[in-house]
Amino acid sequence: MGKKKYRIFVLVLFCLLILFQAAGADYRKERKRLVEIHIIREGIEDPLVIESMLTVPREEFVPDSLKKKAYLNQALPVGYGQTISQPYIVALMTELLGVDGDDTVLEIGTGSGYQAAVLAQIVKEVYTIEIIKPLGIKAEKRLKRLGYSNISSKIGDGYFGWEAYAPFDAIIVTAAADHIPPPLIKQLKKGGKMCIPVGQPYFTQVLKLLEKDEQGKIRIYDIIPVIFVPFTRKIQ
Amino acid sequence: MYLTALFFTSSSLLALEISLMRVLRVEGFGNFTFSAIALALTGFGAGGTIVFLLKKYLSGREKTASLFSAVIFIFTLGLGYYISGRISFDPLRIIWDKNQLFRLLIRYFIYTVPFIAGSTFIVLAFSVEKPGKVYFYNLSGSGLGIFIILISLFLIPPNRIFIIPMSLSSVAVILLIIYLKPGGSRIITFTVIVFAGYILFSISDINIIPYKGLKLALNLPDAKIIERKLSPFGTLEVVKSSKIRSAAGLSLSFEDTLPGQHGLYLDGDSLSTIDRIKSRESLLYLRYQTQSAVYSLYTRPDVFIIGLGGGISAERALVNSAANITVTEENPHLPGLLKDTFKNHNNNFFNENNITIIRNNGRNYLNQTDYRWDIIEISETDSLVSSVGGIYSTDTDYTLTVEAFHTYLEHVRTDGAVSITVLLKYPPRNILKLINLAKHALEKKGIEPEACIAVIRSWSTGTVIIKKTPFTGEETAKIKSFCDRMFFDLVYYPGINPDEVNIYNVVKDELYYKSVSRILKNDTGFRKNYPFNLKYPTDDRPYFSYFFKIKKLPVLLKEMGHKWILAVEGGYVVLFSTFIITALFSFLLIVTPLFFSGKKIQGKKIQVLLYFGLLGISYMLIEIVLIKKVSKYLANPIYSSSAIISALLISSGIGSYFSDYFSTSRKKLVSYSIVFIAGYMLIILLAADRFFVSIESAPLLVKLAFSILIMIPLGAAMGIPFPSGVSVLKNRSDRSIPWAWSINGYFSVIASTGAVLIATNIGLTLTGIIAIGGYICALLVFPK
Repeated sequence: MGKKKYRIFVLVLFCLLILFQAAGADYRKERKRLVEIHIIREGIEDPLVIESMLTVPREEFVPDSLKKKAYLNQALPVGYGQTISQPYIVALMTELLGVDGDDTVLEIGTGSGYQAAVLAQIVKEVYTIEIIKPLGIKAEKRLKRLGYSNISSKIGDGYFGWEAYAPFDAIIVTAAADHIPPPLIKQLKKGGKMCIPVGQPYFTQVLKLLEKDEQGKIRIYDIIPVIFVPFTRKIQ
Repeated sequence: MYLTALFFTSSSLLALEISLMRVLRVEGFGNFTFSAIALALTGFGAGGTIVFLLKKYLSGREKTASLFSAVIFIFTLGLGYYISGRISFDPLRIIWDKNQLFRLLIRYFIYTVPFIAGSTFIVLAFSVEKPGKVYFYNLSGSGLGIFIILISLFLIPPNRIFIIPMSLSSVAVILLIIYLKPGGSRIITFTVIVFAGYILFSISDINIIPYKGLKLALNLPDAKIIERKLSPFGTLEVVKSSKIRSAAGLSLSFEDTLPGQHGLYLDGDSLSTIDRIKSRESLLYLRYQTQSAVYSLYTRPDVFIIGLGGGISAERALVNSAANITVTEENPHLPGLLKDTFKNHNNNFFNENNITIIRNNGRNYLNQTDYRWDIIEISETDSLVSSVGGIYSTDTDYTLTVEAFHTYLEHVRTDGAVSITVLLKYPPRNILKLINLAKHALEKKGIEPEACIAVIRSWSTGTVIIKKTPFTGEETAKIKSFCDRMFFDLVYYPGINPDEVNIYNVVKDELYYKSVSRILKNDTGFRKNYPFNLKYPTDDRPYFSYFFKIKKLPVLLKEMGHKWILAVEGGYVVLFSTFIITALFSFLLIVTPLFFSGKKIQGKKIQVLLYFGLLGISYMLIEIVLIKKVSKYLANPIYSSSAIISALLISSGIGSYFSDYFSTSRKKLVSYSIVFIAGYMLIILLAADRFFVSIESAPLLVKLAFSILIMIPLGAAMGIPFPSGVSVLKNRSDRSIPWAWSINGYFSVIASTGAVLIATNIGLTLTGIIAIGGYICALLVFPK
């Protein structure tokens, strides 16, 4: 009897494992499809970015109730009026920063942690700050669980950057702002880049790229308009 | 007693309409607020359709059915609001998420039911009492509803505002119970009222969408609301949080920190901030915004600012060494917030400096004075708010019209300047329209615009400086130097070199410089081919935020896709869709009775349709044109809407009441009234400006009284054609009276949307003339 029970237990475990595997394989398939259709075909060329987008499991960063929608090319709610960005925008912002394995990046607005994870696949170190405590705590746990050891996160006011680790090769701001915080400009290395969406919380915003040249002179470029897509569904 | 109950039901219907508008605005319904109201109002017509279809069953039971309708009205109002609070709707998500459309439809339905119930009572009354009397109680009750709700907006927060229509309709039900003595049903009715009242009182807060400014601010760790003020302008709320920081388009050369700020919100939307001022040094950041460019031209200037907001523009003027500052503000609570409530927060800044705050509309105030200033600034509160995409596209704005610019130019000294800043929209349109407006205003005054306009931009704001006299070389050098220091881009100044543009904030194809240059060089082809409407607004077409070009819709759809259209000019698209949907919906409900009744409608159906339809359209067009026109003098759409609607409805009620007592034939009476309407309306359209200008300096109450007095003769005449038509139908025992009511109701709703669409394109005067034409055509098809 004991042996039989044990066999049944192993069988069930095995079935579950297959199911999980199958689900994982499905997500991988969907991820690949998303990257091919919405990332590569839309003009993202940086192989590091493409590889990272193919690797990071977006389904781990969305609420359970929305996992099925994880590989649609759209923003999804993560609670507190915040969203996980559209995959294409994540890829574009990452590519715009022009970073590689030697760089350190500061992210303002951790949100779900997805953007930090995508960056962490590419750069040496990612520092990320979230102002909303419950979101920040959740993201930190998630990133630890997924094994991202090169991401340091903290709960705090991103407006002042992270002086202790400054200067940064690149800064990415994921929340729209009506001005660029002066401390962030100070913490950006000469030759560094900052990516930030600008506009009002309703309707169109423009993705801007700020470049600080070797002399410290700054230029800003309009990249593309983006639509802020808010979602109000309650997160389970 | 029965008619008094009708009076209170009518007043609660209008109070409900305004309450709904307030609640949806606070909730964040955005562009769909207008369509929700328009569709809800089709309920007015649907009441007629229902009575028509149930005529046989209701015959002889009209009074009991009235009580039933009144009870259903209260019940569905309370329950509907309770349910709708639990069906969240996200206006932007509708672009992607079909589920939102379903939620929207449910909400539309919920809002429509009480209107159906209320209007059913009114239609039933036509079978019980004389049409003139019914119309009198209906219209005067509606007028009272508007008046009561306006006062209530000062006292009751939006989440409790439904108590007003609820209370008014409860009075109606109680009166009907006393009158009809329905026995056992009294208890049921009482229970229903208590139940609905309970639901309303149990509502704690409006379910504001989570990405509205206020809601986002409240997500910040230490955020809390520390002040709340109510008025018909909306609910002002002040949020305290150490994490709030705002400085639109702040220069990248600013290296210091911003002062602490409280967030200021109007109906949940970000309005401005209130700076914590320790010393003037706290405000130095204000020198690093494009708005400060104009101050580089003057030493100790006299400054006039339109719009106080959180006081930012006044602070900027002072930190730029202004000698004297005069600020006008319409919201009754803002001056008190800055001078009293937050005087410790701002270190008594607004009491101890040379800042004079005047509670008035800026343009009206300027018309009353001969004083001249060095600088007139349209503050960011006024100009930046109107930059929000699409939402305000059909709102009238008399601050940004050719005539308004003339007033500004007349009130700056010979070498003075007018400065206006906008948040740059993408694709560019508001700044281009502003430049086109300035160009026309200058040309009309015989001034060469190319020599008198300068434009600069930051990464998110654009500032236009307009002078009466040409910019001197010294002045342009100062602007250039200012831009250099601040990393701002020059867009245009007289004699600009293409090498000087697009340096710090790089946009594709030097878009701003090229577009502005073409507008100033009078390149009509550019304006014509541009995908957005850049036509300069006038007092007759005061729609600065209206950018939509129907002809360019295919181009925009092709280039941007349907998602972008909604995001870019959603307001107009939704309005247009509303017009189509209400027209189709109304048509369906008008035709339905014909389909079900076969040949039962006696008389000439087309004649009934045309007569009551034309009356509905013309009445509504006149009402809307007058509201828009008078809002220029009362300086506030809320005051003008309340004054005009109340005056017209009550006086129409009086007109209809007496229409039953005239001994002349109905047709003659209608002829006289329509001739009077046409003549009187023409005079208002062509000469009202002169009357109103003469009393512009008078106190608001005097202006309100004057506006109401002017409307009374017109309203009285407008109250005659409808009951006269109904009388004719009644005299020949025509069963189509409820149908006539429906037609009138439906066409009024269609016209309320149509009027805005027409006026944005052809102006208010021509819209008014169309209304006159409508009345004359109605006369031609008067039922025999």
